[in-house]
Amino acid sequence: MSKQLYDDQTLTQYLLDSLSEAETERLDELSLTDDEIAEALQFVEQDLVDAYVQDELTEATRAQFKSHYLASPLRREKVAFAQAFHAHAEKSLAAQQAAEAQTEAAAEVAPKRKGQSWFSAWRGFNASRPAWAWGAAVAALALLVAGSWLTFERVRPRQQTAQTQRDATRQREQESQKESENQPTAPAQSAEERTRAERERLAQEQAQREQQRTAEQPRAAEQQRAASQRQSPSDASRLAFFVFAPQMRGASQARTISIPSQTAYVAVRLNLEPNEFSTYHVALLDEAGGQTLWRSSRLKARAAGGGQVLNLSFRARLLRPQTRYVLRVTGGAAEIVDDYPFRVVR
Amino acid sequence: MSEVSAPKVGSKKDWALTPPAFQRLLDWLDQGADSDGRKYLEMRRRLASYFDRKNCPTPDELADETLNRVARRLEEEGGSIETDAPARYCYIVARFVFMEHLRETQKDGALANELRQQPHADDLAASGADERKMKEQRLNCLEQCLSKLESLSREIITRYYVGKARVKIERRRALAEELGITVNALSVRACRIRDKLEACVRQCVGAG
Repeated sequence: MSKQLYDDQTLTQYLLDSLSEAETERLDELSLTDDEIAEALQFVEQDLVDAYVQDELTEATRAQFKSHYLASPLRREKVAFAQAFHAHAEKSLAAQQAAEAQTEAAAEVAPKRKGQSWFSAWRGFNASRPAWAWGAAVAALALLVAGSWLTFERVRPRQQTAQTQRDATRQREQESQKESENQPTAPAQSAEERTRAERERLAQEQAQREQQRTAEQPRAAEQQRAASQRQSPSDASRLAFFVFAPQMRGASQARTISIPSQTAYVAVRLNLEPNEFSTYHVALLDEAGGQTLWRSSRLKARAAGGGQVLNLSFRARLLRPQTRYVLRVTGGAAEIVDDYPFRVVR
Repeated sequence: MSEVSAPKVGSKKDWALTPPAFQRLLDWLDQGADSDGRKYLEMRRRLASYFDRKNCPTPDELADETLNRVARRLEEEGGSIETDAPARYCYIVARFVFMEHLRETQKDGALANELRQQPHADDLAASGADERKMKEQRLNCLEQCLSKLESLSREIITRYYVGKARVKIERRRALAEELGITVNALSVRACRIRDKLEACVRQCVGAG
């Protein structure tokens, strides 16, 4: 059986002793001889233990886990570790969320108080000056209506989802205008009440619109971010591409590459010298400090132009102008295959 | 398994692993590249896991026994075994060691079956108070070990494994993006940190 057929599901079955004898024997061998399978088994085993601890296994798998996996003290130790670890992680998360909630609550309280005092002041103003309250109320209403209308007109293109609400507002505003035209004939007390009610309604609508906009903001930002992520790798204007050839032995000349300021990703093709490795890792090192700035996952070389090449990409923001870097290719157990030094200019 | 590569691994009780024999084993596992003992440690880990998956009660001892036999064969062969690659040869020897172990335990009276039928024997034996004490100790050890990690590793490990199902996936994606690496690369990193942490906790609990 080709090892490509060993997906996570099969590896899980292997760990739970649910495979045929032949398949088990084959995986026994690969678990010792094949680096990728050995590594994948570690991941799958951690996921399996986590799923058990977090109660995410199906009933059948859970039963198999209990009867087979928990049969070994060493594996029970792994489960105990996972239990402790997840308990600790959940505790940390809960503490973090509580702190965030407290901060949010504190931030919410301040504007609410401010709003209340403003509205109370407005009401107090009317109550204490009955003689000219009516005229002032009409003027305030006219201003509010005009303001709301202008705001409404300005935000219309961005607020399509609130269309129905706005239509209702407009209708009420028109009604209010008609009412205000008839105000001189209406009794002063009822006009004042209507004005206050209208003011409250408008304030309420404004608050609702604000709330809706606030609720929509993170989602819109997330959508925008996701869209930009989808576009980033394929957007030619944000991708700088370079081909690096192996250095001549003894040469110390670093290649200079120019990266436009808007570049988001740097894609590199490394032409490899012939060697015995089949998989590689590539690390981006700061040549001066020797610090690893980025490290690739396991890479497989591809045949190209009679030789082998590695294709990789990383974020351009890792690179600073006028700085020297090295792309270090390692194979097998971290054996250095080749270094590709370069210098960045913007 | 080829006939040619069948190892001469008969148990020689008087043979002991000497420093030169151990160095020969390290060199042979490295195959010319100096891994500073990492290849040996990785092979030993894989062997112990292999014996553990076979429900052998002493996987570490059997892993050592396997590597001792390989070292002895290397001594006999003058430092190199040409018939198989190191990892494959280790597997062949491990199979022999496992089958021998199986024969011995069967002779002793179906110990393997007993182990399978009583998976929670250790847990049941421990009283509730002991269990609580053990859990507490493990948590203390975990906190100690976490504090020994570099701050970035600590952040990765605590954020990577938090949450369930979809939430977990989203968190991992966000973390990978923050670090400017792929989710796969993040998995490898988190897995390595967890292994390290697990070993530290095991050692701490054992010492406690």
